[in-house]
Parts: sequence; structure tokens; C-alpha cells
Amino acid sequence: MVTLPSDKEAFIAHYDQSKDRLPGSSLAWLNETRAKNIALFSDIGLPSAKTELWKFTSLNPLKKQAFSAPETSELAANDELPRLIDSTSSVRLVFIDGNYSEALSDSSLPTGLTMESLATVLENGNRDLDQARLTRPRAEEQPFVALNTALMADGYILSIAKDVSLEKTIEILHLGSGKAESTHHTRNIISVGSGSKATIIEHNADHGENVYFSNAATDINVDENATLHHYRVQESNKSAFLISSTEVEVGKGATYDSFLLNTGARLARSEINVSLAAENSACHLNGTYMGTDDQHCDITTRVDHKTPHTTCDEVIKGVLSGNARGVFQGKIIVHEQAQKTVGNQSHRAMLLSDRAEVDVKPELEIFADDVICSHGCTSGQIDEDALFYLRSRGLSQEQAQSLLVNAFLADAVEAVQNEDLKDLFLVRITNWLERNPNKPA
Amino acid sequence: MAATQETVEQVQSLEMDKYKYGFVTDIESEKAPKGLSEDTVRFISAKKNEPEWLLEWRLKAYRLWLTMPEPKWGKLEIPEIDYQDSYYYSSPKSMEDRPQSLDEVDPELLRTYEKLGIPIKEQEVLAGVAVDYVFDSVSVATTFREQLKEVGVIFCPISEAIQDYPELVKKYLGSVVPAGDNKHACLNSAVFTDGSFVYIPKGVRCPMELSTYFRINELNTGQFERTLIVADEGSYVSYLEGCTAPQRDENQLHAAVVELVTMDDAEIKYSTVQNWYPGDEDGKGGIYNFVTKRGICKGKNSKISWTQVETGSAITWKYPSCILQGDNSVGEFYSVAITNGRQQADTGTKMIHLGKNTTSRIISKGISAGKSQNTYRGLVRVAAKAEGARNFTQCDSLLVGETCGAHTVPYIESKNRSARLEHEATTSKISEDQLFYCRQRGISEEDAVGLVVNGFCREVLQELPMEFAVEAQQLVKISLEGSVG
Repeated sequence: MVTLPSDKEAFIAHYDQSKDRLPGSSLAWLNETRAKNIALFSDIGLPSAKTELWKFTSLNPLKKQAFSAPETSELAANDELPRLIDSTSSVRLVFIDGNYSEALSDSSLPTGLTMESLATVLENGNRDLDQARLTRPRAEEQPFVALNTALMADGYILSIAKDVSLEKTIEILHLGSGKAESTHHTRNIISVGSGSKATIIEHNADHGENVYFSNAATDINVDENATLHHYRVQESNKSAFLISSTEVEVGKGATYDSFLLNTGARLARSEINVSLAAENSACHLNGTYMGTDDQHCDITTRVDHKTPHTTCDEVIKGVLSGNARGVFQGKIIVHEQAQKTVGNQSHRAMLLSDRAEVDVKPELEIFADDVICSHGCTSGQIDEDALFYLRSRGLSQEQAQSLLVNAFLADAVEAVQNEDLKDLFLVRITNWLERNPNKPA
Repeated sequence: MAATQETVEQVQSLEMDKYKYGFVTDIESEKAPKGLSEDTVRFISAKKNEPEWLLEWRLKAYRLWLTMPEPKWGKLEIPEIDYQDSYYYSSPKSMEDRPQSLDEVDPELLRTYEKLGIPIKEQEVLAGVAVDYVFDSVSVATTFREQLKEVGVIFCPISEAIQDYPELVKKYLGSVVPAGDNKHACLNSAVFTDGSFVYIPKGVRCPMELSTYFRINELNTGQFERTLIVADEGSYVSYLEGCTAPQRDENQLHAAVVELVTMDDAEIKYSTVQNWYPGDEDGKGGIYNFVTKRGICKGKNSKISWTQVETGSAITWKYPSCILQGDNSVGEFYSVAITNGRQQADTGTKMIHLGKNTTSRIISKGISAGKSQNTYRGLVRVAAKAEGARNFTQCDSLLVGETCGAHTVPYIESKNRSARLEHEATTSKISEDQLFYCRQRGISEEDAVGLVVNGFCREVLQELPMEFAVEAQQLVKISLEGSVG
């Protein structure tokens, strides 16, 4: 048997190396939690092709890569920081290699918003972190979350007070400093107070082309009648590994609205689990992904309808060229008592090259009878007739293709209500198409 | 359609709470010793007077079976199966000297068929149907064999084909479903007792629908049929399979294997109505139906079409599949699966697109009622070289009552950009408006549900040959009895 550099033992070794210098190492309960989770991780191991939830996503590229244990790192002073939204209409928090940088983040936060870094909270031990928050349902299905819990060093704890409507968008930059083979395990918590509204946009970017591994876990709680718009722009370099798992609990009458745009990473796996456990709760899980070369993009969602009158809709669209592979797994579960559920899901993929591949598994699991649930999936190439039409109007092959692909993806962005952010996503789609002109077939 | 008429009448005269075909015929059987071992395999092979190569093949399968794990991926709760608590061979005693005509057939048998609503004499008269009865495991009477022989069609029990056409059987047996495919198919390979063999020669359109009426009879005998149908270039055949079983307490294992092969321009249409004993209200008893069905479109422009109406069995585990190897080949899957009481069904199809311009179509209608669980599980895979592949999938589920479950688990894998794949699925309950409309017209609630469900399944039911269509509609209705009100 060949041992690969990053088999599970390598990560367990990371834990042994760094457990004494992780924040909060003086807290007994935390040490216990960490130890329990590394044991759990050791039990489950890294997912393989036989793991149903990872059926289409091979971790071999990750396993073949050597990584070092998490460390803190500094950013060179002259490095530029990308910013998605102008500082007049946003507050920005900056994380470098998974560690909060107070100096680089905006200092004045709007009223109603509090931000603490996980490292500080753990280090000070002045606030008993809700231990329940660190325990996921179905923990045995989430080895990377177990690993995250064992090794978490920093992250954000964002709390939005009751009945506030934050006008400024909260921008969170996760920047890779460019340090090769580094690993970061960030643990984030967002809670939105009842009746509040907030928009959060997370941005994954990096300097250079070096390999690193980011393993994030985010736990979100949207209270009664609150609305959280949670957007993500993942544009890391094409050697990076981005694995993230988001667990959302939506309260009565509340809405969780998410949009994910992924163009980056060698391997990006974004897992979103939403629990609709109170009446009239709703979620929207939308997104687009674009992949080229050897990129692998995996979006896996699970929505649990646990009470009557809950709603979810999902629209995901993807475009793949080169050797890229796209994966979408979407599960909608309607529990026994969840009558009057409405759940709709759609995934559409377009393949631009002969070697691209898309694998889809939309799943409905329904135990209540008074429901309306549907899913639809399509996969195909650019419509020849539409292409011919545009060519006959004098557009070049490239122009025509780019126009059609753009229109295909833009459709998914329609779900974003905020006009400024919608433009931000559309610009990224256009840029991607310019950077990756599709060669005529 | 005298026989059909009679079926309908019998169905109507039935007591509501009794399983339609629940009775045991008392015929002496010659059994293999209880349990499974190499000796059982040798016993069956010797009993069938099989050539050495087949015994070797069986033994190899048996040894492989010992090492294989139970397939656990289905959404099914399967009690531990005690393979040693079953008989693997039994044949009605009157088989030893095979009857030459129906008059010589054990009258007890004939009466059984009559109770089934398919009186053999009427079947003979009924235009276009040749019936190959499987009573327990050995074929008892075969009709219309001579007529088929005239056009060169071979239609006989597979045990006979092994004696008479060993080259054909050797060439195709296990070529579509290899012994090691899965544990159930592997068991079948080791201990299969009989089944049908069909060969349609080049350019022949089979003049009649071929049919086997399966029936499980002897207590404690699992049935292991093996069906092999080969359609040579430019030929066509429509094959019907229907099943009933007597009522009993002990769970019965049924692990059949069906293999279909089509050459250039050939077509096979395979229709099934499955109505085995589903167990009582508490889920006690009932058949375990673990079937491996697969067809390969070997030649260009060939076509395989599966149609199934699954209403019986305690547990159904069945995925009739098509391997679309030849260019322009077509695969179809039409399915109605109804579960009631405590039944569990995990069924669907696989469409593997390998050749250029291959097309597949999947229409699946699942109906769950009572406390049952009904799952559609399907795979559409397009290989990198399958230029211009096309798939359309529609799977709809209907829920009747608050305590049942309907699940949809499709896998879609595309490695070719020119492939166009579409998948749609919906789940909903019976429309109150439609029920109200029927009730308002004086139709009882139970009949109204039957009517609405039949409408829901229409797309699939109309794919069935005439002989089955009427019976199937009745079955749909019977299966839902007790699910409303």
C-alpha cells in the first residue's frame, strides 16, 4: 500500500504538532472537543469514491499533495488587497491565511453589528462559546468539519442585533498569502437577530499560484422574520483546495438567501445544509460555476423541511471547458410532518469541450403527502441554431459563443436581488469568458 | 377477448381484503435438500443433466457468491436472509414423464391456472399468445412451439436449450449479466433452475407475443429463473412476463436474471406485470423480489424497450437496464411501481450510452400509499465517445396518505458535450379537485382514486401489449385498496 503525503495520518499529525499552540489550549472543554473530533476524523477517514456523498469528487489530487500544519502568517506590507465593494457602502473584514487581521480590517462597524474573532474568544476564554454550535448534526458524515473542529484557529463570530437593517454590506475577504502548502481551518458563526436584515459577501482570493488548503466551516442562525443574504465569490488560484461546509438554521418566517459564484480552485467543494425547522421559513440556494483546465467544482446541498409551510428553491448553472469537471448533488428531504412544502430545484450545465464532464445527483426524499416538489436537470452544449443565428448576423464564432454562454449563466444571477451585487457577478462571468475564450469546435 | 373478460369479472368478484391469487396448490414436489452448498449446486446440475462446462460455471459463481457482500445501497430495509433455510430446487413430480399434450397435464395444475384467470385452453385459442408456464421451477407445458419452429424461432425452457442448443446458450449466457455482477445475480447463476430461452433468427418478426406466466408455488422454494433472449439482425420480438404467488407467511426470496441481446436493426420489447404476494397488513410474509434485468443493444439501430408494472412483492429491488453499444441504438424504460401497506420498492433503470447517436427515454411513475416506501433510482451515463447521445427522463411520484414515502435518486453523468440530457421529476399528492369531481358524479372514493391513479400511469400502461393492459389497469386499482378513507 502506497502512503500518500496527505492521507488522514498527515492531518492527524498536524493536530499532534499544533494542539498545544492552538488558541484556547488552556480550556479543558475545548481540548476535549478537539480531541473528540480528531478521533472522529480518524474513525471516518478521508472520503473515498465509495462514500456516497463524495461519489463524484475524488480527493486524490489533495491526497497527493503535501501540506504543512497550520501556522500564522504575515502579509507583505506592500501587498494589495482586493475589494469587491466600495468602502462607502461596505465594511470589510480581512482574514489572511485564515487568521483575522485587525489592522487590515475596517475598524468602525455599523451599530447593531458585532464582530469577534474566534481566536480572541477562545484565547480569552471570557465567553463560553456555545458548545452546541461546534457540534454538527450528522457529524459522522462530515469528516472535514471534524477536522476543522479539531484544528480551528480563527474565524469570525458575527452577531446582528434584533430589528436592525444593515445598509452596508459586510465584505469578508479570505486571502491566501501565497505561502505554499499551508493549511487553514476557519470556523465561522453568523447569527442574525429576529426581524433583522443583512447582506454578507465572502471573497476567496489569493496572491500567487501556490497550493494551499482551506477548510472552512460556517454555522449560521437566522432568527424569526430575519433575512440574510449570503453571497460568495470564490476565485482562488487554480492550485488551491477549497473545502467548505455551511450549516444553516432558519427561524420562523425567516429567509436565508445564498448565491455562490465559483471560478477558482483546483478542487472546490461547497457544501450547504439548510434546516427549515420553523413555519414559513425559506431558503434560496443559487449559484453559477465556471471551470476550465483540471478544475473540479462540487456543489452539494441538502435542505431539510421539518415543519409545514416551508419553501426552498435552487437554481444552479455551470459551464465547463478543458478537462474540468462539475458536480452537483442536491438533496431535498421532506419530513413526515412537513405538509405544504414547496421545493424546487434546477441544475443546468453546459459542456464546452470534449473532455469536460458533469455529474449530477438531484435527490428527493419525501415522507409527507401534501407537497409540491420538483427537480430538473439538463446538460448539453451550445445550441447550434442560436449560434448559427448570431453568426448570420455577422458575429464571429467566439463572439457568438461568448454571448450565448454569458446569457446562459446570467440567467442564474437574476435571482440576486441587489442590483450592485448582480452586476458584480455578471462582470465576473464576462471576465471569465474573456480569459477563457472557447476555441471553435 | 374472452380470457380478459373473465379476468375482469374474477377481479371484481374478489373479497376486498384477500390477496387475489392467494392459495396453495397441493402437488408433490421432488426437492433438493434444504440449504445451499456446493452439493446443492451439483444436485441441481445433475438433475438437469447439464454439461460439464455449465456445472463449472455454476460452481465458480457459487464460490464467488460466498465472498460477495449484500448490496446495501438501496433505500430498503431488508431483514437478514437465511440462505440455508430455503430449498433451491423443486419440481412437480408429474414432470418425470413429461406430458405431451394438455390432457396429460396434472388436473390439479390445470385447476390452478383456471383460478389464476388464464385457462390454458382459452389461452391456446386466444390469438397470438404462446405460453411457457413455469410452475415452480420447471416448465410444464409449452404451447405453440411447433408453429414458432416453422419460422425458426426458438422458444423453450432454458434447461432444454442447454441440451439442444448448447453453442447458443454458451455464447450468450452471462454475457450481459456476468456472474459477479451483484450478489443476487451471482446466486442465480449458481442455482438457477429454469426460465425461458428465446432466439429470433435474422430478419424474422416473431408472429406472436411470447409469454411466460411465472408462479411460485411450493412452500419455501426461492425461485431463480434465468431468461435469455437473443434477437438476431433485423428481427423483432415482444415478450411478456407476469407473476403471481400464493399467500403464505414466510418470506420468499426471488432472484431472477434476465438477459437481452439485440443485433443490428433488431428490437426486443419486454413487458412485465409483477403481482407477487406483498405480505399482510403488518408486512409479514411477502416476496423478496431481487431481480437483475439487463439488455445490450449490440448492433446498430437496435432497440430494447422495458415496460413494467410492479404492484406486488414485499421488497422490490429491480433495475432493468440498457447498454446502448451500437450506433443509433435506442433504450426505453416505462415503469409503474405501486406500493401499499408496508411494501418497499427501490426500482429504476440504467441507461449506459456508449455508441454514437444513441437515444434513451425513461418514464417512471411511482405511487405510494399506506405505510410504504417507493424509490426511483436511476442512472444515465454518457461515455466520452457517445457523440450525439440523447436522454429524456421523467419520474413522477404520487403520494396517497400521510404515512408513505416517495423518493427520487437519479444519477446523471455526462462525459460528452454533444450529449443532451434532460431530467424532470415531480412529487405531489392526488389532486383534491379531481377526487371531488369524481365524488360529485357519484363515484365512490376508492374508485375515484383508482381512476385518478390510472390516469397518472396512462403513459406507461399504454405501452403494454393488449393482453396485459386490461389486467394491469385492474391491478393498479386492486393494489390501492384500503389506502383511502
